Amino acid sequence: MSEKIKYSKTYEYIIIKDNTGIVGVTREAVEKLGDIYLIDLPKAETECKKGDAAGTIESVKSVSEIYSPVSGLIFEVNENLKEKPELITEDCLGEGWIFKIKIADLKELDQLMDYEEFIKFIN
Amino acid sequence: MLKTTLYEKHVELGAKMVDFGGWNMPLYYKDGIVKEHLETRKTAGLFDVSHMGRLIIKGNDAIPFLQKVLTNNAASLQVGESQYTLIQNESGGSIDDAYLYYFTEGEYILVVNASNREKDVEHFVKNSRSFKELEIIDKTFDIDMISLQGPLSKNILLDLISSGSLPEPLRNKLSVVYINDNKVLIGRTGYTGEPLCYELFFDKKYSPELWDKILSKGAHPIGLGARDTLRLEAGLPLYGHELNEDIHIFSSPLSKFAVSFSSLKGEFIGKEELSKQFEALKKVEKGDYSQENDLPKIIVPIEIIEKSVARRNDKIFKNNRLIGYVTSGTVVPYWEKEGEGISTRLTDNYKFRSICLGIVDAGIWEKDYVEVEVRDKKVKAIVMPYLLRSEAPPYSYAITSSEILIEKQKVEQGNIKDSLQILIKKALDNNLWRQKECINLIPSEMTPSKLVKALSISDPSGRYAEHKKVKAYSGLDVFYYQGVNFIAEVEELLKSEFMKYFSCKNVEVRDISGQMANSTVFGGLVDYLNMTDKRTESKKIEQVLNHHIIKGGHLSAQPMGALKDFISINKITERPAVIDFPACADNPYKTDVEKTKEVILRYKPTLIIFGKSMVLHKEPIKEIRDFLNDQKLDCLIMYDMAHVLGLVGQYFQEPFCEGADIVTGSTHKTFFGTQRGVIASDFIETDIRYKLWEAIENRVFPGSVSNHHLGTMLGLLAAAYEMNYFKNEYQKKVISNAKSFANALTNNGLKMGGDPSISYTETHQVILEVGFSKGIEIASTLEMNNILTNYQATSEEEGFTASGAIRMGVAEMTRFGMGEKDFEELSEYIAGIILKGKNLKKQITDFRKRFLDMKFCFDEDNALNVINNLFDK
Repeated sequence: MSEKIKYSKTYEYIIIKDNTGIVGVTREAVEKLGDIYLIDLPKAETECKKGDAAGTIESVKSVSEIYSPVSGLIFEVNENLKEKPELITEDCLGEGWIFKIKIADLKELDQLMDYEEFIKFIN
Repeated sequence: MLKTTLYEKHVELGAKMVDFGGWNMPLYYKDGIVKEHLETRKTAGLFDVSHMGRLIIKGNDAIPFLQKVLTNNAASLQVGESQYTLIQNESGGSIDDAYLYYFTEGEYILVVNASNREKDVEHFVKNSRSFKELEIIDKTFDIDMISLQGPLSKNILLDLISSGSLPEPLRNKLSVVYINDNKVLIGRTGYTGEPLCYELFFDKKYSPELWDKILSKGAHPIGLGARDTLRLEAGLPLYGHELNEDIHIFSSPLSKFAVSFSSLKGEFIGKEELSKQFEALKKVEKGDYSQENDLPKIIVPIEIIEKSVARRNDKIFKNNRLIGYVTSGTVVPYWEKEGEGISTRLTDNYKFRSICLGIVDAGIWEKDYVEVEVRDKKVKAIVMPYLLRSEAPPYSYAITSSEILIEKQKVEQGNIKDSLQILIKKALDNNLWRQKECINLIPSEMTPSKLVKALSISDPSGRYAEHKKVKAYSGLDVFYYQGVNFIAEVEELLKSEFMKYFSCKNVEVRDISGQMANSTVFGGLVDYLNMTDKRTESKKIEQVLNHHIIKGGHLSAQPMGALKDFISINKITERPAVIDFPACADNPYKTDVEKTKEVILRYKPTLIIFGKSMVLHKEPIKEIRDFLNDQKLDCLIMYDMAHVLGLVGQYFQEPFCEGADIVTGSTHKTFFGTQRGVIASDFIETDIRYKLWEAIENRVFPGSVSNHHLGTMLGLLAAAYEMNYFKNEYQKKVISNAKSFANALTNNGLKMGGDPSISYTETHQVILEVGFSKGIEIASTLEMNNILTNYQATSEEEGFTASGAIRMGVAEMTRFGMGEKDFEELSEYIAGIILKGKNLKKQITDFRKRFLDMKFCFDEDNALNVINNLFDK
């Protein structure tokens, strides 16, 4: 299976490769948040359900929860974000990834949107 | 939702619009909150605040009504002033916070929070039933309001004004201007903590045009998001967060300035509760918690030390005990600083920090460590005395926790003998530099002659000669020490020389500085006022007329200077009873005599203090003395001659001939002496006011001095001989040099303060105007070129950090032989340095070499003999 990107209603993205996913927040989320000051990362080696809160992002305006788009095991978190939260602002899909998750049920991915649907949704 | 007149503008500018208290307002524009916050602190920010309520209150019952429903003393406002105030409830909490503006006689504008406007009006209507002649008119939808804040705001407005002038550079001052043909009311008020702050009121028709004009001059539009981060950093309360109906008003640190218990307020809503809170606050600030129940909590600024963000309602702990909660919190950006002291600058780098305001137990002090619970995790934080400081205009400076926790460095133990050798070398280097390589133009300074210096270090330096008149001995002085025959004679001779110099009968020479001489006079005056009744608290001086420090007055005549302990508090304004000389509209350096007469009639001062430290003109002593006599007003005229003491005579002023009662002065500025003070009067012994003179003498000892520095007193006698011998030549030359200098500087392209038709000056001083806040930099640059001057704030500037002028005096260099041609040459050098950035240090050093021989003194070889004699084995 090639890489695919899916989007959630709460502005997260998941880059899917085989049965793992790389999760972060979208450029649209970054625009809404404004200048990011601090990331509270989820703990590595934790199970979560789809829709669970997995970390928070603090910006000048507010605190925003990051919601996991799928159920599974978070096996790696991006420690770089502790020192450089601005990586999310600069490169949300690349260096600004937040956590990697082993997807428990691939069928959950069907409930997520592709990019066109996502753009239509937020407007 | 309601919309302001500028709604379309905000949308055009790409603002994110939100509902704020029922109004559709911009939260932020394209650049975002962080950039808007930073721009306000570095350049200028423009805020649409038309959503706030504007109520007009007028009528004969306006004052009694306002005194009842607001916490501050509305009657203390003069036209052209405003005040922060609260709308209080019966239990000592607040219904709203507000600002009261007094632009026009008989009419008050009260600005209230948007979300409380209707509630406030309802409260007012309910409480106005007993006031028959009262009108409360809601003008929120007729008058618009915008706020311009930041370092460039002043210049932006100056560029736009077509007539009228900006308010005086003091917070809460107001004025009326015209921009094209549109009337704009301006107040020096704001909600950002910026020292340069303006809030503008005008007919709403003019809104869009004025908004565009101000933006076109370089201001940035700022939304409510940054408005909140700015006010939080400034420690300012937001209604609903730090203030509400339940929170005690005195919990908020600004309430001290917003609540008055003046008798002029009579009975007002919540007076009893507020009085209890205030009593409790006074105790709490001294560590006494016995009245804690009346004020259990206070609001303090807090910086979060760990990387985390505190938000509203987060709990605050100290040593695991819950002490309060966060009222407002977020992340704010701040510009980093570089440099030290006066050369502190904002850099182009910014950082973020997490700050909050918290309502905590009243016992919590600044620098206390606390913990804030952020989403189940306790993070370390510290209570700050403040987060931002605004007393160095034109910028405000963020203060971080690392700055307030700096430990004093441990003093290093060194090798004393080595330290001494280093000191000697440095002292000699400094002396060489100042005496042989620099052009010294600091107007309050003078080099004494070598003879004066030599005599100053001889015995009696190190001795005592305290003496007091004893009436039993026919009023002659009794000395408390032995070995004083010589110095007793010196003191008498010195007094004689001053009596000749001033043409007066009484002189006191024991004070060791001009400022001390002034305190002595004030103390003597208070003693004189209370001479019959010594049993009750001394009454202080009732009403003083002086020169305000921003118009060139000296510190010693200010209520925050030497006048502090001697001036009474005016019951109406609740401030020290001091009024200041009005300046001429076309020449801020000159006193407007006609306006002064009006001020005198209105306030009936009992003491007038003439004399300035930024001085270009003679003081109008005769005109005022004649006026006081005509009006039969009993008022003491004091002339603190300070700078111009050395100019007493036909070329400047003869104070006693003109009607002064008391003269004080520094003997080391234009006068040739050592650094001391002098007091003089001309009362004859049968004059009732001679008792004032006696009170002054009594204050000197044992009040002001014990040892009166006998070495410098001996030196001063030699200087007084020099002065009396050379004064005509010297004084004439000083004044003509000053005039030539000012003219030459003008011809070289520089801008001088003062009246060109009299060559700018009547004294030894010239004032060079270099532009808002450029003074410090230019004075530094001149120093690097070996020209020593003073940076000086004019009456246009907020404070010395924003100095826009350079103050120079010609007296010292005149004494070293410079003439008019030489000052012309010097002005070319100065113009080269300031206007062309030239480095002329070498030229200046060479120039000084021509002026090393002191004039207006006796043969300097005498001095060498004295020195050799003193140190001869």
